[in-house]
Amino acid sequence: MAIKIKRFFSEPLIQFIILGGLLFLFVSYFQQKKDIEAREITVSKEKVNQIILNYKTQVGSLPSKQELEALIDGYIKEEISYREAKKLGLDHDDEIIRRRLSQKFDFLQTDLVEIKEPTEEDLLLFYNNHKKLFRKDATVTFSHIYFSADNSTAALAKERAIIVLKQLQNHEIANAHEKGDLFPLQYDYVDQAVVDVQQNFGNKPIVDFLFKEPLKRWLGPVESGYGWHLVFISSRGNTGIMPYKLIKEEVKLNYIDSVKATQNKIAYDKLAKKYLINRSYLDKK
Amino acid sequence: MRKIIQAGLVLLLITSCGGKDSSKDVTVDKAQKTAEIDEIAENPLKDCFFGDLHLHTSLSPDANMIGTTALPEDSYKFAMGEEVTYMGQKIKRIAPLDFLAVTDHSEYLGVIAAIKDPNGPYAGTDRNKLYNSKDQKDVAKAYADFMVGVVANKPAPELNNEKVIKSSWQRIIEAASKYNKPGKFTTFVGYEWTSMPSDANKHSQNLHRCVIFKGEKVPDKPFSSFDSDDPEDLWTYLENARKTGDDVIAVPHNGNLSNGLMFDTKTLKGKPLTKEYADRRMNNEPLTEIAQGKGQSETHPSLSGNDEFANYELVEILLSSSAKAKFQKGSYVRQAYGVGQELQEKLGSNPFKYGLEGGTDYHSGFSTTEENNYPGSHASQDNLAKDYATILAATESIGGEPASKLSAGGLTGVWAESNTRDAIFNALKKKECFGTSGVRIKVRLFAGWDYSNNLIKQNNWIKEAYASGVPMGADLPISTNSKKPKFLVQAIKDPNSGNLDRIQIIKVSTKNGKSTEKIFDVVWAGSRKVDAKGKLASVGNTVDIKAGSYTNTIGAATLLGYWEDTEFDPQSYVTYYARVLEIPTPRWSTYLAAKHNLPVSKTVPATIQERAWTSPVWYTPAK
Repeated sequence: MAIKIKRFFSEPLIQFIILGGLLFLFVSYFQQKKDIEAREITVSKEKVNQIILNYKTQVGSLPSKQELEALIDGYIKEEISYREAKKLGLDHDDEIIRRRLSQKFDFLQTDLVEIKEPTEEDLLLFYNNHKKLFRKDATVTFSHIYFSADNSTAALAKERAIIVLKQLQNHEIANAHEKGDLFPLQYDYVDQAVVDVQQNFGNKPIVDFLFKEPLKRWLGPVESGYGWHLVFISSRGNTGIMPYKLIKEEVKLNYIDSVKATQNKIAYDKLAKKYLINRSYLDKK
Repeated sequence: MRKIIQAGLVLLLITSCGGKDSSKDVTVDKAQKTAEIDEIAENPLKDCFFGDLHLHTSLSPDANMIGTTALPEDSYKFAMGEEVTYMGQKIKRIAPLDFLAVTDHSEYLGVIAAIKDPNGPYAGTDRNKLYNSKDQKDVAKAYADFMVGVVANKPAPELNNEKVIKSSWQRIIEAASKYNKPGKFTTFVGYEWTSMPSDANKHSQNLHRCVIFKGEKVPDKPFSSFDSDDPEDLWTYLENARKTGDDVIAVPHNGNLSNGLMFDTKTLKGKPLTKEYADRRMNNEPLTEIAQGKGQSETHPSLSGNDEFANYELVEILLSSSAKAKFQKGSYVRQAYGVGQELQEKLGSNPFKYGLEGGTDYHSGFSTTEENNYPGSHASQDNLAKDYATILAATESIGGEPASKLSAGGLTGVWAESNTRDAIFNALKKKECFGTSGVRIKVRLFAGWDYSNNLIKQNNWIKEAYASGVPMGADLPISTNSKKPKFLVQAIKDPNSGNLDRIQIIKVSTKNGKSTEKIFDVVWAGSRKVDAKGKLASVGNTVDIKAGSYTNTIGAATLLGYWEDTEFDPQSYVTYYARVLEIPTPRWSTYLAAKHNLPVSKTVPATIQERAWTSPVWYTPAK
């Protein structure tokens, strides 16, 4: 009998069944344990603190006891429906979830590599290779004499301007503005872009005049939104590239942005290489 | 090994950022930009900068519903002078602005845009289909769907999408960050808190406030009227925001449409005002909007019978309603100055000591304040390129004022040392700013005990004015002797607009619970005389209505005046502010009629006298 039993147990099939049975018990024990765990929701102190903090940043004050209880209940409800939804596989093939996960991943992947402080050479090289980014507007530097039509007429103001122009004989003289009327803003303007002149004098003939007429002589009269002017254009800065020294900070910001963009691209390319893309829509029937 | 570290890092990031949007972190390194501020020239005597602190883009649900597509980035570009496309037309400002705050509604912020987005969180839902439908029935349905929560002030959970609201808020912050160019152009992070409690007849009463932050260190979500429609709760949010981040102010607007609630003598909960309430209110909201697209809130002709210029850009129908707003009390700023002083006599603090600013409140995304360059301001509701004939002929519209009644304005003028966030925000807080009807009149007001008539003849009068007196927005120091207060006023015309007619000082004084107002003409163009009744002759009118044109042959380019209040009573509380008037020019509706050779609108005047209102100077009797 004993031999029979021994033989019985030495049958490979029986051994297999026994082992299988043991494995089944083992797995179902852990499965059960996992199921229980999956149905267990722990609201830890840390979680509650996080809920309070979220509330505070949104509302500005701490939640009352009742409000906090409602928030915690809300969290529990969300957690239960989240788990149930996952069990039913609702997260598969959902466009919104796909997009959200992809965004989250992109965010985590972006700017992972720390960018080291650029050296002077790095910045100069970047500046020289990207000069287009640092273009400045055309500007004009000028002085003017104002002839007001207040308490007279525009024609008379213009006439007075013509008389003063003759007296000046194209000389740049100190305090020339005293030959005209009191102007409530400035007499001398430095490095004014078209936009600045438009803001200060109105969208009037004086804008084109300042950017067209010859330098270093008294010219006019020309009309602004305030009346008539004689102008002395001392220099014009053409559209050009801002000198490196003046815009070092700006170069640095642009440099960092550019390095980040490059590194993000490299990281993506590396990742994309691990995938084989079948563009089956291109296949010919 | 590297992979493990990287994975660890990813985990660390997940736990530390809790799935926040990437945008937040991007703004951090942009703070470096502020380093540039050091190099910006400062003018201690201050320059005048113009901007708009009240503008909506397609992130505002109502703007989006009416077909606005612009985003904050577009608003900033347009304000800086770039050409943009609006309702299929190219538009461009004649003169760019110096600063701008985009202030979208915080209620459902960005949600309508998200619902319509074919790739957004509502993609494939019924709402996505309904809100994108061009069918008029569907449009009405979608509007009704959206309005339910707004009217009841109880958000529909499916629309009150926190993730969308937060990411839209980040978008606003990022746009402001990107376009802020210290020294050249200033942006502010802001939004509008849209409280409109209903009255007994279910009419909405406007208690809206725009919230303007000094910097980018702001709460991760704006406070909305869904959180509370009581301004006192908004102040709590502002006070908390200040503790954890940048300074912030709120600016109430449209007292004219508040049904008497804006400057009420009791709180929204119906309690009497206290000193604590007055102090809190003034700490949190130093300014109020005197003029904007939906009319001016200075005064009403029937409240100021002696003010021949009071009948200006009146808008009187409550929002989303056909009921006329009550305005006998609590709606207009000039009256509130008196009421505030009456409360000050009792409480020791004035709850309505408001400085003044102006904004557009446009829902187009674009601050189009130029009268002769106004394309409309509410997208499909007033598309002037297309519907000009209907709009010019309209005398009423369903649920509100006709589109022709909207103003092309206003703007805020600020006196600041430089065009930077710091300088401009500080000036707003100090009330050294003013509102205009949309024009760029530069107006200064100073008050002191020791100014003389000769001062304004000196070239350095501004320096002296600061040294021996106070600018707009400040208190006259306590007088130690029996002197009378003196005032210096200067106005420089908008070089793209009409000449100036006159500068007036408006005085509101209070004694023993009784307030009076009086208007003084201080300086004016030409050699006009004041008649026996004290009335200054009219400046005239050069407007050719049919041609839609005017000439600057009348009026003055600049006005500078000195005035002494000879009727001053040291025992009275007094608010003094200046008002500058332009000569008559065509209203935008008249330019539009002339352009299309159509009759002018009968709903609105053909010509207007555009204007600027300064923040006041206040006098408090020594007790």
